[in-house]
Amino acid sequence: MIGPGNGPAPDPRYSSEWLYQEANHLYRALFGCHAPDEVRRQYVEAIHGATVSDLPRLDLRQLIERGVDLEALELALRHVRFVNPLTQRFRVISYLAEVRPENYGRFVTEHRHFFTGWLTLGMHLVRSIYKLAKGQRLLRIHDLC
Amino acid sequence: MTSADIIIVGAGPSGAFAAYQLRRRGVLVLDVGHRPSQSSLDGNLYDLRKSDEERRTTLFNELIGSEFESLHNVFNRYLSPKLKSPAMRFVTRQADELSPVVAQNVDFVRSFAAGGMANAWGAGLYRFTAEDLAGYPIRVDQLEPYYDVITAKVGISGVDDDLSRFFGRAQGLQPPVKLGAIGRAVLRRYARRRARMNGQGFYLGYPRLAVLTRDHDGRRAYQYEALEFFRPNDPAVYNPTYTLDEMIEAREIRYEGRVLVERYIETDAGIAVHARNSATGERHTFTCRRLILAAGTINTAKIVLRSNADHTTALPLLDTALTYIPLLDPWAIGGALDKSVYSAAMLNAVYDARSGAQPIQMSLYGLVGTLRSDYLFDFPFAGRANVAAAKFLTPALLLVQLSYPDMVPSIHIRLLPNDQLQLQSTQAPGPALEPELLRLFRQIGFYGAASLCRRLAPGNSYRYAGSLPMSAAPASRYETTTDGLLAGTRAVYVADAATLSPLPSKNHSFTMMANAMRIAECVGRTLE
Repeated sequence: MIGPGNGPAPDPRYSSEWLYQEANHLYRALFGCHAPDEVRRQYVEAIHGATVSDLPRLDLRQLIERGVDLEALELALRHVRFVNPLTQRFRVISYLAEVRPENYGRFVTEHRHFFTGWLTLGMHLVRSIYKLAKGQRLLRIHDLC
Repeated sequence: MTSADIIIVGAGPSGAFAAYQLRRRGVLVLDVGHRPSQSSLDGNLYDLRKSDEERRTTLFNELIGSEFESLHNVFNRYLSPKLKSPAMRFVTRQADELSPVVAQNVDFVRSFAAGGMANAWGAGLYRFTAEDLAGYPIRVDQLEPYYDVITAKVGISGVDDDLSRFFGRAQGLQPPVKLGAIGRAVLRRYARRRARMNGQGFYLGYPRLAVLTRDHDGRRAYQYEALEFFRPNDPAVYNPTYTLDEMIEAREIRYEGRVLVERYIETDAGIAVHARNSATGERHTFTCRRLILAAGTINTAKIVLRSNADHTTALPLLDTALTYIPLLDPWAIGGALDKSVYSAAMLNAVYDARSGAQPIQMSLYGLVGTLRSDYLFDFPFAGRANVAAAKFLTPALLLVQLSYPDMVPSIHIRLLPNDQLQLQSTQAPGPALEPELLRLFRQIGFYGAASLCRRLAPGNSYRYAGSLPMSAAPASRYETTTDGLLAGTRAVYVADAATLSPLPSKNHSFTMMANAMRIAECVGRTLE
């Protein structure tokens, strides 16, 4: 485990400017839209204050710049190792997003949607199987297994 | 130097009720006594989450925290969701600083807050039965009068149902807390198959909760705001500080906060209690005729070991190993949010089919009170699918918390030469009941998989006991008499869960409180 702010030289992977952009990529992967400015700022602050699990070969900045499917990669990585820096970052984004009033409807339903629920979950199950296969391929390609 | 007839160390459930029994008898309570800051949350958790822009920053600070407290489990050792939220962090504040511990294979939590761990409890209060007290040198009838006094004082909700044979007398209870849709579904299906389920040793019913469903003793009834995980001190959910503050205000006891008791020395003249100020480190000595230790199982053990300057003895520590079993009701998928429910245990189940074995108690939870991000990535799907699962599966999820009894201690406490505590576990997983319970729940329409059951590391139950067990004939200086007197001392008593051994599956908070009153009465008699 290493802290992002630790060590003799500042790591560009943890610069505020980069984390600000990283937040947007993660948010988009999770919710399909751009992150509000406030969430990006909160993300930078949260990651700076945290001890992020280190996976030596995972250079998230490089992966994002190459346009890798973060959602697929995270799923495959989580199945191999539950505590990993990518899942940790997704979890941070999820917390920051959940408490925003505009995201209430993404997490909570106040009305019964039995058929919509089953249909949505069925669709997501198929999509998750595809994402898992894709993610496992990405792990091999980027030598992250 | 401050003197008192009786000094009680600690103001958790045991300390508060020992003091209650001895009020107006010259009691001084010494406690670090952290208190919560004022919460601005007012209303239902879900209504607040939909609130306008102006309240967004306030809500963020209450739910996530200005220092991102709610993100604790993303980066650190697991803490119960109830302990990690911003307003609840006072419960475990300063614990590592005031009493450092070296832990091996154990997760543990200690509290230096006024009210102790009861600030974050699920408020379950269950009487021990004769079966639970097997192996104890005391009988049920010695505890019953105190259970009754506490029931009247605290206000306990519950009902006389199939679980009464395990939970004891139901007299004096308030009506039970109302159930959400998933709780009603479990109960309805159980009622239809009751004879068959009982034949297999499975019983279901309402919990006994220190949660008011009617106004009581100046406290208003529970408002179903689902804020238990984020707002401390709901007046409807009992907290020992309510009784403590009443006694302080009525000048029935004296109370000194910010006092960390380190050790005692017993002489012919009485007992000197050595302490330091938890904020400044300044040392202070108190004297008394009788000392009652109620600082919590682990802290009390440390005080005794330090007083004996003993760096070799390993004291036992009991802990009910916990397993979480997630279950799904397919008919409730896509169900509407039940936002007005009590977010801790809504039902209890007991499994009592094994001849000669202790009954196993389970608490059944819906997932209403926590943020869904707490478990979002426990779903085995891709990120977006997990968000959809949180939305549509949560109303259909039932979380069963299974507590295994601890009959033979597998965790040990030792005082290291630098006066830090060492907690070491050698616990091997016991026989797993999960497959059998999954089969039983399937019969009432709730489905799960053994691979999704999660057994927590030792120490995670936060129910500790047995470090200084009571015995009819104490054989060492680390046992207590049935009156709570620590063997080898003349006037040092132990009144918390350290005396309770073995530990049944059932939550022992009620017995801790009743036993503390019983021991306090014994102490009072020695001064008459």
